[in-house]
Amino acid sequence: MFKLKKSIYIIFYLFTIVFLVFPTHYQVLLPGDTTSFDEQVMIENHEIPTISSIYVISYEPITLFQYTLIQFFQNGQLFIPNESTQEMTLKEKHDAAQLQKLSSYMISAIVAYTKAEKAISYEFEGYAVTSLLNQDRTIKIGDYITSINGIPLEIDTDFSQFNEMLTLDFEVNRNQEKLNIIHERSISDLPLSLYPIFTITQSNPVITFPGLDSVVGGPSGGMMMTLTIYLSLMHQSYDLNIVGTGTIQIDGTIGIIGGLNEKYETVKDDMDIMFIPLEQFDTLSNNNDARIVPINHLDDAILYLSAYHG
Amino acid sequence: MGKILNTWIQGFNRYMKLQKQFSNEISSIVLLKTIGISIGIASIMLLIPVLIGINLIIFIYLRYYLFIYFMILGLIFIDVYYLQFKKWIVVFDNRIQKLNLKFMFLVERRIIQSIFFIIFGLIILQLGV
Repeated sequence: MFKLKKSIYIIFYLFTIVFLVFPTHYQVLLPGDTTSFDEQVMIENHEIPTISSIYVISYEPITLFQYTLIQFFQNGQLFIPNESTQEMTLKEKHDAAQLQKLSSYMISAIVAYTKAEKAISYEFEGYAVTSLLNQDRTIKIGDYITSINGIPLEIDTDFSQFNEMLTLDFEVNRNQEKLNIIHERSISDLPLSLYPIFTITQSNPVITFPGLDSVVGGPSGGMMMTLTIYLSLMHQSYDLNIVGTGTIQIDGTIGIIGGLNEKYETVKDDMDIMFIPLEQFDTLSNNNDARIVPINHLDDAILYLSAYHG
Repeated sequence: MGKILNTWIQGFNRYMKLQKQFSNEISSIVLLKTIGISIGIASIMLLIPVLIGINLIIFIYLRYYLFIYFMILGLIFIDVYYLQFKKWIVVFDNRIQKLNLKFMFLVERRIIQSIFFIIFGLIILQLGV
């Protein structure tokens, strides 16, 4: 009897361990937190207004226990990650997210300074690779592609011109070294994700980004960073709790982001205005909240804030 | 005040005396075996609660509760470790039974728990949680 009881305990113990450590194929997006931009950016002789970006927790692979909890409480978005993400190592994922943030912050500064008519000069470095082309890692995460088949890449390059080309000759910068990588296209190729990288050579006032060293990565803070820099340059501040999410393009348009509902869940109890990409307004489950402001361009946010204050 | 200080000094002297006796009596092999088995049993006993805590880390809004949870688990781990140590040291070398080690273990346990508490607190403060 004692032996049976002991065996039941051992089986239960082992079963619980498996339940707590066994990985599933799922990735999850969960509500996260906000970070204030005064920790992310510094502009010489300018105050940074109190505006926050929202981040969510993205984690994979989740365990059976985590899967059960998320299903039970319905507080996260479960999905199977794409093939490229599955292939990437933890370090590659981190590096990719940091490159996306770098791209986004540099574009933010350029767009905001241009809009505020302040002096800024910059150079286009190339397109940073943030996903895998194939399992062989022909092109590595962090490579800067500067030309393809002899055609130099610019910020407005139309990538569809390469669709029909069977052989691709990439000119890349890898760790300050110039390389030529020839790639024969194959059916198993994964879609390549590229982010334009700029270097700010000079600006007046001088801008620095201490937030580039933080662990939070990704491009989704771009729109709010641009708004923060612009308001700071114009010496404007609002006594409001302004949050938002969305990527920024070099022409000031706002791009879509992941985990919008989780971001809303993160800030819903503590915000006055939340800017979101117009394109994603319908995907937000709580879009009848009057504090949600869908925008398509940076100008829309600036106009809204001016009108809000009368 | 002087009386309290005197009690503390007496207690510390008693601890040091017991510690010296213990070190003389016990061999390094027995000590290592006991430490190993005590850590092993304590780890097995607390593995499930630790794994539950690790699984919950992704829920960032639980972070304050989780820090308290892990701190309590750490203190419990030290308690369980000493309980096992007391039990197994006698099994490996029963000469130790003649020493009254209850007081020595109590002092050591509280010292280690205090150090753990301070280090954990400092880490939390450093992380700014």
